[in-house]
Amino acid sequence: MKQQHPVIERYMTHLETAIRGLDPADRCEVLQEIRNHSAEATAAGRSLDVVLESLGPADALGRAYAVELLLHPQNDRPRHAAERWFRLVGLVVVLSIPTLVAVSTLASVGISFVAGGLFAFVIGVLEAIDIFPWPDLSDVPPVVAVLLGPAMVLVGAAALVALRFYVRFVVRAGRTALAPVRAVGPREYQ
Amino acid sequence: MSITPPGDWTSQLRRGVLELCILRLLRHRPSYGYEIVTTLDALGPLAAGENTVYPLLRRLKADDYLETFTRESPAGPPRQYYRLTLEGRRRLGAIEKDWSEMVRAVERAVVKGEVA
Repeated sequence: MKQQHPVIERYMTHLETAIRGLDPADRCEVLQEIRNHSAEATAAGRSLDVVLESLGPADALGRAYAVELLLHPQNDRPRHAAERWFRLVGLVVVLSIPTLVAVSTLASVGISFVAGGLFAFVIGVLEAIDIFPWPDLSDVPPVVAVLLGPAMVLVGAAALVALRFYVRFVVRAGRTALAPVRAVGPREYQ
Repeated sequence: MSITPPGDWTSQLRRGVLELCILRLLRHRPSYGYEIVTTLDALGPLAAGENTVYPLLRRLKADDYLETFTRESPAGPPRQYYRLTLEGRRRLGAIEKDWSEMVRAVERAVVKGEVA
């Protein structure tokens, strides 16, 4: 991590002490955020004194974090790592079969309809203008193939979009299940 | 009986509506901490100060109303962006409804006061 001005570093050391009761993941993000803030503010032309003055004393900022996070209703029930993994396993059990069905169906429908639709459209056009070099492959009139092709592509594209949404939903659900513990109990701040 | 100074009343009022303002700011696009602070700062009475906004952002994240992701900055360290979660959008809808009712109630009270 890039070192900033010694005054900022001293402030960060005090802040780190002031938020020592927070969960390590939260603590790390808080420190990074305040560090980023001071970098952005000084890059925008604000002097160090102004930046530190508007942040307020490190102790007070630490207490403000503690108050906000201790208001959190889940703080009296800290989530342990085992619980997070248990939630993930539960998610896998619940979503495995729907995921298998959804991914295989949507992917195969999406790819085959897009490819088939494009093929039908091209063949239809070639037959319609009569430059298709081979005998007719089916009894389907060229105009039907030309109309059917884009419709199939649309259906295939819709299936691929639906697949994308489903994958994002599963990834987000997994991240939520593994979300880190927030803050610890009030005793840390007494 | 002690009289509450006007500044304290403003501070209490601001604190109450700050959550609504932050969720509204993030409704259409993600934003990072410094940008949120400076945007609120430009809104006069809503200028809450970093030592209020940053802890509040953290609580909104802890409440699962916001989520964070990191994106490279054109200059300086990577920025931590905040965006609304689905739960955050629901929360925003509920607060906006409460806020509208509150404003209407206050307006009615003011009108009644003027008539009386």
